[in-house]
Amino acid sequence: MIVIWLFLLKYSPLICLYFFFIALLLVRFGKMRRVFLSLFPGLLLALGSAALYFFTTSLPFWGLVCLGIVALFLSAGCFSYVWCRRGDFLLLLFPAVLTGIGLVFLTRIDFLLGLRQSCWVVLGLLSLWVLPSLLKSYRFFLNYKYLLMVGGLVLLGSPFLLGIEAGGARNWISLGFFSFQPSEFAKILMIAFLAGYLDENRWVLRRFPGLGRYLSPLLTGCGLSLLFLVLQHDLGMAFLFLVTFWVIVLAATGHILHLWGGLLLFLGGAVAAYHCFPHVQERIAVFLDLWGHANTGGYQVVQSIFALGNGGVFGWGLGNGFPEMIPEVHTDFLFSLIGEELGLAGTLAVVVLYVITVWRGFQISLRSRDGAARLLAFGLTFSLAVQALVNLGGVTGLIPLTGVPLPFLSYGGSSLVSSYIIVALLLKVSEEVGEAGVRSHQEV
Amino acid sequence: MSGLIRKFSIVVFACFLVFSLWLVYLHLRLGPSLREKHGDPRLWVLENRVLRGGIYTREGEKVAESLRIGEKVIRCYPYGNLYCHLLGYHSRRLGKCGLEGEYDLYLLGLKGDFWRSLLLRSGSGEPRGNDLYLTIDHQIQERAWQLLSPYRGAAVVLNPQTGEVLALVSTPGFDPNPENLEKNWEQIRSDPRHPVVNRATFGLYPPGSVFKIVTAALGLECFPGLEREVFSCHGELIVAGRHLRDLEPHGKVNLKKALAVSCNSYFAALGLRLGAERFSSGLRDFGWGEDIPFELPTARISLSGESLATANGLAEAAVGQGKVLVTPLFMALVAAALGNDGVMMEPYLVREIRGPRNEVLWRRSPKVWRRVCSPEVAEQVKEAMVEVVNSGTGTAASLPGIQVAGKTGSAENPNGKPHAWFVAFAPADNPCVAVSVLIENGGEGGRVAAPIARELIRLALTEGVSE
Repeated sequence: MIVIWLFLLKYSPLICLYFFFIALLLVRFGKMRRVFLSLFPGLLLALGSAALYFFTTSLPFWGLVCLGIVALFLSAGCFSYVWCRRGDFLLLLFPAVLTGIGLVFLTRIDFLLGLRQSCWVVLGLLSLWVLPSLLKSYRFFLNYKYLLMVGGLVLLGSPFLLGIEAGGARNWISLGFFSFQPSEFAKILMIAFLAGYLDENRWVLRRFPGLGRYLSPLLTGCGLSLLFLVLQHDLGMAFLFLVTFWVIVLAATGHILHLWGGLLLFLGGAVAAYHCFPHVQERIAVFLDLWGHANTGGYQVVQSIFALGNGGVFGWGLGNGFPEMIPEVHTDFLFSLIGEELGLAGTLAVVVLYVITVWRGFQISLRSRDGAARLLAFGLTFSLAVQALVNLGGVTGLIPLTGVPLPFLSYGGSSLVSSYIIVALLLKVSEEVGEAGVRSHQEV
Repeated sequence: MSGLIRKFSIVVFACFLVFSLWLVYLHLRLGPSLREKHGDPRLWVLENRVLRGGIYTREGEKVAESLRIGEKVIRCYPYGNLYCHLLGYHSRRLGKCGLEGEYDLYLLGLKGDFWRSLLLRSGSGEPRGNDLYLTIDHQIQERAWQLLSPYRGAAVVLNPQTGEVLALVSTPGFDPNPENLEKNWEQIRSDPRHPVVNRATFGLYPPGSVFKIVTAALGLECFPGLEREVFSCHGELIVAGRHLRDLEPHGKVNLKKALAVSCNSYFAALGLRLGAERFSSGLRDFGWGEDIPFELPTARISLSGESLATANGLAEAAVGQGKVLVTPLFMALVAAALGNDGVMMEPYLVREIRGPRNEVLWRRSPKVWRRVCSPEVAEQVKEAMVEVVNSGTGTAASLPGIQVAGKTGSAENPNGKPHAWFVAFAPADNPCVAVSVLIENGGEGGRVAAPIARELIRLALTEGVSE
């Protein structure tokens, strides 16, 4: 009997996830469906915490109570949004489920990490309410595009003044009582700037792709932000910025010159980075010969691969894995721990959650009539997708490791809150798309 | 714009798809195989949670156990080097090998019983691994060790009808108890006598005359009526300008006589008559070019197809010299197959896996590995091997009241005195035991190896292990 309870609780995150998927496919009764589905993120967190409380010694009772409150908050956040607003509900639900899983596993590693992350989760959920009420519409936001660019650059430049070193990169700023990574927020501002600017000028750029007057604000904004990141040795983020910028420009103009220009810029940058930074050379060497570096630079990835292999199809169950084997498992390598404890069933479910989130984002982009909204939604979604892919590929040895956190899952306030801001902006766009859609329908 | 966005989104989803496929491959194939290959430290962490299972011989003699002394768990081998090559070792610094490595997950309790492994993973329940019960007979193993310990060599005793290995000894050995092993490792590894190598399964030696039983079987298979043909031996055979000598001219010999006196000319001529094609395809029936399915790592029979292409190479291979190299385990399997109507059984060491409450979780059933020749051919070779022991080179292996069938070998090698070989099975009409003994640079097989084989056969048959 105990075995069955043990089994059910240890695998509760997995069971919960698959129930969620089934419910998503089967339950169809309007608004009640949304209410029902919004229970899942909290349920997942609550059951996972209960398993940790009963079967491990690390989680004290008050920790369980705190996590229970966070679980309530998580579900209530989704629920209230469903009740009051008309944005794309799934776009909120999937990140919330991911957050729930992330919190369970962070608590499993160290419940203080889980509690600290919970604060950021609360802040992230609040941004869903604060942001839409601050901005009357996304248009209003995009009108100040140059301000956005300057703001982004100031944020990116701030570590030069207030920055602290972390992991060989000077990309954090410390405000005494707390520190954050400004590039995560600058990313959003730069994408918004690009969307606003390109929407206005894309016709010109489409005809005259090399026209200096129209190209220069773009090149200044993108170039300076990349320069700042490179100077701070944050090359993972620089890569992310470059790819995102390039794809947005390309989506707006569709010009062959921008395709090759971006590609050349990327290759040139990659070669230059390889020659200038010893740690890039090391990462590449590790990637090319992982097993030759199994005890040095490749240790984390090797252990991560071992963890996934150890997990098999269904994993070892929550709390039974060996997170202590992977250094820094809570930031970049949380996915490996999920793979070890929930197995292939768990990791594939996580991938599906990302895929559906990204799919909803692209849907919003495609459904909107307005070019700026379209570019904004596309850029934001794309940056989320690339960030997830770069992290996932890196920790599984498919591509070189870059040190980019996994959106919604990894420990870290900046990453989590900025990801929620992206969700908030996408929801805002989807609300207005919905209104426009309804209006056009009425007009017809 | 929307067209491009759609295209980009397809690229993104394709990336996710590629990643998912990679993930499946990593979880199910690549990850587990890499863990095995490179040694995953997780299993060592688990060793602290679970009391590793013990290993017992067929009579229930404990040959390996884990003892919890205070905080520490120690792996203990009460018989020291007697079982070192078989069990392997289990050391945090040096890793796991032998049966300890092969059955690691069973010994740790992760495999065997699903529900209990589930409990073990979470550290709750009865933290105790599964026990292995071997096919090894402790008395034979001990006796084989005693007889071989003055030499460098190996002995394999097995049941021809089932493939159960009753004894598997390689000398010299080493003390596998982790504390001593780690202390003496440098010395063990640099020892010129190579005590770490399991000579029985991994040592490759020229088989010399014992290989003639294989040549005889191939000849009989290809030329029906060969046993009635008569060959005249002049004491040497000239093959492509080179002389292949015998100790003395044997005169008129048939197959039986030729095997009994171990006539080189006869078998070299037979090899040439077979030709490279038939010789190598016949060898393939005996398992040439394949790994022996066994729980310990085995070396393949070494013989390149090119060396058979020349007349000299072929003639030499037919008498077990030249480029052909075999393991003692392989020769024991050949003898066993000839005693078992040409059916070679898969050899095995573990007969049962039992849980902590002594319940049997898994039981091995005998499996046929291959058919090496027809029953008639096996019968003919058997008769010739009986002749070897009754009146030929192998009289030292004869036992009162039991008909032994065997073959001697004295394999010339570049390192000094010939390797002494003896392979045999008994009783000839219904073999319950097959033996292969090798003494490195021991001299004449009939004088050195045959008495050891005789003693092992006697012990095996009086012990009544055939059950």
